[in-house]
Amino acid sequence: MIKLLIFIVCLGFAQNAFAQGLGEQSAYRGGQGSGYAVNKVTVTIGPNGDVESDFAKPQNQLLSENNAILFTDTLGNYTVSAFSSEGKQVKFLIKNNEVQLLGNLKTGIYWVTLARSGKKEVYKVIKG
Amino acid sequence: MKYRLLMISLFISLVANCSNLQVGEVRILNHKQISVNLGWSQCWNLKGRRAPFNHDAVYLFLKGKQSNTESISLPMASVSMKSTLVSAKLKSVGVVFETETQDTALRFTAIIDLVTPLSQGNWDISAYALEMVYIPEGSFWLGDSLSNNTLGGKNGSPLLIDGNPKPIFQIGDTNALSNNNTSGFSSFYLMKQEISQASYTDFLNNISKEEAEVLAPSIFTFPIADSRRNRCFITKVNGKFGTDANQNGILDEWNDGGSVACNWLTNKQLLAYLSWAGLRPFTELEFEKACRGPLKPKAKEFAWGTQYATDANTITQSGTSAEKVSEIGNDSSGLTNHALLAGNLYLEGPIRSGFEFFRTSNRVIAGAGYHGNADLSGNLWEQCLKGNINTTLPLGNGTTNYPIEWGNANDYIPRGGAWLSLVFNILGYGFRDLATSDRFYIDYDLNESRGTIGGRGAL
Repeated sequence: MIKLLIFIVCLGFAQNAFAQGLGEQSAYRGGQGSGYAVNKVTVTIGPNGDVESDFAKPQNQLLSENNAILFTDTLGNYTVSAFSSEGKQVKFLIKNNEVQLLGNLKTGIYWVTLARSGKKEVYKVIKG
Repeated sequence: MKYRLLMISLFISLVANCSNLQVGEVRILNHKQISVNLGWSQCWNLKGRRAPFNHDAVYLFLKGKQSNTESISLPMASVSMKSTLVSAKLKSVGVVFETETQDTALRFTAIIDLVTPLSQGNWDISAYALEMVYIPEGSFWLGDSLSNNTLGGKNGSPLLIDGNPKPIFQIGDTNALSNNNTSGFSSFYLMKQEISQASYTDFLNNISKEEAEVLAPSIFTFPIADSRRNRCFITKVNGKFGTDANQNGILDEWNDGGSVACNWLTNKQLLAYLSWAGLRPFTELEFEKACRGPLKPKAKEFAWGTQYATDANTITQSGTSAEKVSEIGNDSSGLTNHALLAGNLYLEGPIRSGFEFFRTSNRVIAGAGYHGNADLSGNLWEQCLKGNINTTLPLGNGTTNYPIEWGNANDYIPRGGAWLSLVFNILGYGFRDLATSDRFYIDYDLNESRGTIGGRGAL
């Protein structure tokens, strides 16, 4: 059984490598989605052209394949926390500007908050 | 323990290649600058390296709306990225991103400078992304000499479109259809997949309510369970358009069919969508190039370059973004959604465009065109400008008022067949709607809304 699994795993990695090396085949490969994506945000523009606040308004995010979301800002400036929809804390890892949620995540909604200077941004994260 | 580790490794190796296009965080940096996080998988770039010298790309466009006003496009003055692996080209109202390398999961942030700063007040900003395929400049063969009403040279033989003006004939006609149409020779981008129902309902929700009523697929008022819908799950709840395949009254859930290709599109509806998105329609010459690439035609071949098709007939994960079928193509018979003889089961509507692509598929197995576009043969008919139209097509300006150069329904022809197109794997049979060069329906009225017709756009 274990030998069989080793073979399958090796095959999987070999096919990955094959896909990388044989570039023209990548055009015909895929998995999910319809080649379309969208995201939206609501903001208030102030009289001087500044963004008054999009803080504390949940913004939708989709988790990537490694359960991570990428942020624009340097996360070192923020206090980061993550919760499940039941309010339980979720462990996470910060690498570059990416927050990767750890553990065996079930599908559903999670929340990631970035706090700085008394303000808090909330991101609603969807694990599909 | 070893067993568990191996199972985990197996899982990782199997999920590592899912193909997803994602628009992540959209952030308004100030009234002149917006940042968008983007990611997509399975990107490739063979430009300047080796045949077919193509690459994939992502087209992004922005819309903004203030309370009680119409939505407007937000044209871009410049775009910069933090990633050196990605380059950007500005288009009419959007931007095309392409990668310089291959990466199974590319993610990056684009900083966009707007042409017109956002004025004071509350704004709803939307960022829309579409996966595209870049089809390089180059010669290609038009026609296969045997398909119904096939295009080609004077004697009906395939014609090499090489950028030099030359007469194009419809087989059997002595008068040329066009004397100088070279469309398709130049490079262009073509949507990798057909327009999805999620994409179309987002369009309807972004334009004025009055326009949306006119441009919504006519079938949307039917009960979702009505079989005459042919898998169109678009409906309206509390003034908002969306999909509701699971029929629970809540729109746009994970299994509500948003990824299914959008059918029932009239020519006017398609052109309005393309103009709003800053795209353009594509020509039937471009259609044949996307299918065949530079290869010589085979009689009555399909988009994947062989003369045989495997029918997609058994849906799994219905209505989800992973919707697919249990049938599998093989190296001589491409998988696609078409019809079978009466008495045999077949899918009575479109399926998620790109459902045939998986982590080890090749062109034939995936039922793909030469350059990697999905469902050029089967699923839904494409709407292409006819071969006699000889004009440079401008891109849409971001509104639903499309350019006059795009013509009207009479200037278009359905190409590539659909889920209701009967396919026999016998070349002598007269009907072969899915064939790359088949033009049986040259007089088809594309003003009509039908459950077999959809579309896609080009840049």
